[in-house]
Amino acid sequence: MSLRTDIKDAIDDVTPPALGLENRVRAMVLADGKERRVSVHVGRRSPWNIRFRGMGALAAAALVVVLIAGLVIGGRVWRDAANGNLGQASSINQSDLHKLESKALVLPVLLPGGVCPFSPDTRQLGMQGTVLGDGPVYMYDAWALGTTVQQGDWGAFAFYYVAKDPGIVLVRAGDLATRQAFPFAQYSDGTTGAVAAGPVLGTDRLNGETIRMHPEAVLQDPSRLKPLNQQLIVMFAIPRATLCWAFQFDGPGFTETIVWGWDDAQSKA
Amino acid sequence: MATLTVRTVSSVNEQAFTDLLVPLVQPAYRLACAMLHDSGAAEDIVQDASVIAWRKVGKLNDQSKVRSWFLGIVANECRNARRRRWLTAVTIGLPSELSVLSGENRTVNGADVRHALRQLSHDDRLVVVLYFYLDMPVEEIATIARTSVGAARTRLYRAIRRLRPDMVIEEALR
Repeated sequence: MSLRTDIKDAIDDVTPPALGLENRVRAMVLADGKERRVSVHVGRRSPWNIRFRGMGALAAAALVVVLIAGLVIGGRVWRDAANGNLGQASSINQSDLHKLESKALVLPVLLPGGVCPFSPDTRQLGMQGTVLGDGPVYMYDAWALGTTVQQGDWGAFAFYYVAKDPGIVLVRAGDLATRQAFPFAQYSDGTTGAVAAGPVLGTDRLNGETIRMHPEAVLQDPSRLKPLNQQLIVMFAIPRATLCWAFQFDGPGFTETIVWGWDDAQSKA
Repeated sequence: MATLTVRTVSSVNEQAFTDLLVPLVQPAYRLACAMLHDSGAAEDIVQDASVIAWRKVGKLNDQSKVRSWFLGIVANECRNARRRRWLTAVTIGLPSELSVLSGENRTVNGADVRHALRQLSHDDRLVVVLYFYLDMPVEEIATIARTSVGAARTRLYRAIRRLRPDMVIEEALR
């Protein structure tokens, strides 16, 4: 088969028909056009109207800010209390953790100028899209959370853990070129059964919030988690110069490594 | 393809604009799918790009270039989406136990090709997708990629060498 045919077949496999997309596009453009006409019309007001409108808008904005702050703070307290996140770190069996920590962090070797030994897409777990890992831990999602001057790119990484034996899983990560270990922080933008662990190494400011950095994270034993917490999302910072790194998972009876990164600085940007 | 009844695109209304855009929606969706390998994200990209295009339609001076102009917006949105989203897989029901997807050869080959495409940088992948998947000429690819024809050709050759190191370029281009 030709390269053209191979590429077409490969992409067609992940391109289901987008039924009705034309209608949705048409509706969005028409709605946007109406919205813009309304805003132009609203702009033609007398100076008095504008003054009162401005004061009213300020008061409304202040009220919204107060409401949102109340909801966020209240929601977090409620969520943490409901899901037991407040007690998660302390609920980790420290003896089990120390045993796992005693295992050396062995990152794959990346020679200068060498190609990053990316883990292959194993397409396991009956998922559509990239799934990395041979098991029992699988990475299926990753997204940027923001960039800081101090640490670089903070990202969230989502895993499935198909546990065969009870027990926690220790997660550590590091740059394959510099051998530098990455700091972890507690992911708080949603429920997660993963906990940042180990001593506090320092703090960083991300999106206006102070976050505490730890040397590692722990995936909780799935059998001990409430269903809502069974998402395993860890959050860690990747230095700006890093292109290739690895996670090491140490759990009951297994050690697994997943290598991931960017192919070049441009695609990372 | 629909044509605008006005002399300049800048004075076009929503209806005429969407008539012009609708034939480009499926190519745009295929481009976004090829770049992101995520059909849900691709649909979002096409819708967002359509609104961006509508808001910028005044900058389109030559109606005959609407395809490359619009696909350029889609490509740029794909780049932005990739920056935000590093990796994603869509669950087809929560996995209760480990199951390996189809072992059919074509699927395995397809996965290999997609993996190889993902290893390319955004710019290299874009020219590959436009040339091999959407069958576009290099001149139009250069416009979409906002580069020169020579640079687009260089990217294409470089990408082919990475995808198929043993293949002669002329043979791969067929």
